[in-house]
Amino acid sequence: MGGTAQYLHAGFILISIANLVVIALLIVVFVLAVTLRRPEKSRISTIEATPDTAGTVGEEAANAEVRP
Amino acid sequence: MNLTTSIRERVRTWMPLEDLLPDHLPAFVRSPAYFFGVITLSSLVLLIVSGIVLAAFGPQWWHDNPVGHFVNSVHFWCAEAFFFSLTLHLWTEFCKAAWRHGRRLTWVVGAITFVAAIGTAFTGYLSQTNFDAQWIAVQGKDALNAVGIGAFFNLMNFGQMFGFHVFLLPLLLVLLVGLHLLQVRIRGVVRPFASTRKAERAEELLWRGARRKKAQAPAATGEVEPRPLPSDQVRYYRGIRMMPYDLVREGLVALLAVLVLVLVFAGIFSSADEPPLTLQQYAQQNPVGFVTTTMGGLSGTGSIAQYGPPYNTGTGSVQSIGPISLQQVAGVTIPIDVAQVYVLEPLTIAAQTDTQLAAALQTFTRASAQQQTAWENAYTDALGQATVSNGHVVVPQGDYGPLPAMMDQLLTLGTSGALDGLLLRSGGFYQNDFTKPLLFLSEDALPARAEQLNMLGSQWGMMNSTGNYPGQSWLWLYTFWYQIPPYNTAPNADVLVWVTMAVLTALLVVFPYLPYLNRLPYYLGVHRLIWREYYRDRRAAQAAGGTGLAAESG
Repeated sequence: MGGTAQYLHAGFILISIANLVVIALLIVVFVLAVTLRRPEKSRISTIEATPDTAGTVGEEAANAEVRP
Repeated sequence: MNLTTSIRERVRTWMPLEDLLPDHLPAFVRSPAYFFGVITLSSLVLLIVSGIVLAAFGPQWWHDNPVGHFVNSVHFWCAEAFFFSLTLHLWTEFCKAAWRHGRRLTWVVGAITFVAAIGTAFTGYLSQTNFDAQWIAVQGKDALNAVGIGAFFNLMNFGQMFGFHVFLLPLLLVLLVGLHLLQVRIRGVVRPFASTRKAERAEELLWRGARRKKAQAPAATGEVEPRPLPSDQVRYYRGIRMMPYDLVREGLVALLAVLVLVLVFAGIFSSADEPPLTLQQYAQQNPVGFVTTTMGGLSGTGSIAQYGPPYNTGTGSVQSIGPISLQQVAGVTIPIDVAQVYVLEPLTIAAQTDTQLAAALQTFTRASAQQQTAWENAYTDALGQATVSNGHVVVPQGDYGPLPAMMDQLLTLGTSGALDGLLLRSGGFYQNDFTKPLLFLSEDALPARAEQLNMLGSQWGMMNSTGNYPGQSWLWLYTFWYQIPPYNTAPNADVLVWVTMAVLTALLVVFPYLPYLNRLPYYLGVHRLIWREYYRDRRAAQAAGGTGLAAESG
């Protein structure tokens, strides 16, 4: 990376490829972060369980607690 | 009143260990959008550790020793990881409107931490002792001088910048991060938005400190529960499923992941370290430019000679907004007599062993001001047709007085490297202030090199780096203003950009307090993605007539 810097020039925008990659990665990671879930835990209920709405499964569900 | 008892009881009430180090968290935190805080913290820990190692061995070590340069690269990639995750943390917390339910000060401290981190990184770039550091110092000085800060915070003073970077600013940063963490753990993470605006409003009133007294009022009648303490997480998360969570393990995993990542990046990509430009190089590579810059200093026509505060009483670079010039208010705090510092003092020293030079100097200094100006103007004009022969600058015949002899000797001092040392002289033995040589180089040599590297202000220079390395991309907004009207044509562009950024930064810090605007995250709707399971389960509970909304009743 110590060679001559590569730049993208469009109108008044002049940005190094390295900075562009960082900004593009920021956006990609942000999108992934708000859309992805930890797969094995995706079915655990997030609110207080009731006989009608309990949706928890697996070990995690067994350990989950509801605040009194 | 026993203060000790009072403090102890407050700590016990507000900071129960169960909430400071919880082993259960609300189930809605399963989104990766909650990871960035701990990744930022991990990056900060590694930044501090690698920074301690660098500080222990000193600048020469990270330039000359392969291990030192590797540790420097680790430090650089830690900084990139820190700002990468910090930016994502800021974005995700914004989308969650994480300041709700009494957490406005948590946001304020977090936003101030962001600003402090930028300052810490900036002084780090100034402490690199390479070309980036030189250029950032001379480019940034104009912005700081324009608002009077440069009079006290001298970017070209390595000793001052290094002190700020390795101690003062990291200390501030750690204190702010510690306070922010404490705030987060005392109140816990914010809940998803309530199902109705009215319910959300009720929650806000209940948990916001100033309004809790109102909420408490009916308590005496037994109509509602007593007002909750801000730290009452049991009540705050009522009706919300809690899941086992190991915060410490998560922190260690994040620390390990960031460590592996920065080691790999440092090993593969290394880090930028373009050698600094010296006066010797400048004199050797561009003798005519060197002599022209020197003549600008001697005749008082150079940009530094006419600059103004904090270096002299000129007005060439003085900026103001309306009738107010903070630059002039701050005054001349780093006085530099350009003709003396760059020409007459070095030549006087050299003249101690050179009788011809001593005679030339005497001729010049004893001449009238009018005669001096005539020689200076004639010689400066002649430099436009100058050539270089055997390392000497040759100009057409003319009446230049002793100036050709003086400039030839100064060029010799420059090409030999002696001038690099002479400009670092001060009253004492130790030297760590590079203001004089950097100001000299800022006239011509540094901008010429920076333009080749796309680092001028008009080239978004402040966020760029040498080589193919990411620079301070977090300064994109600051740099952006310099590219568009009216900033890029205004004579007081630096002041205008400072004012603009000050206003925008203040808005960021106090965003939770801005009516209407602080509802923006709700309408952006990203929170619907982050908390989609929570909202889905709540709808299911509502459809089933369950108790899932209990938490929203406060």
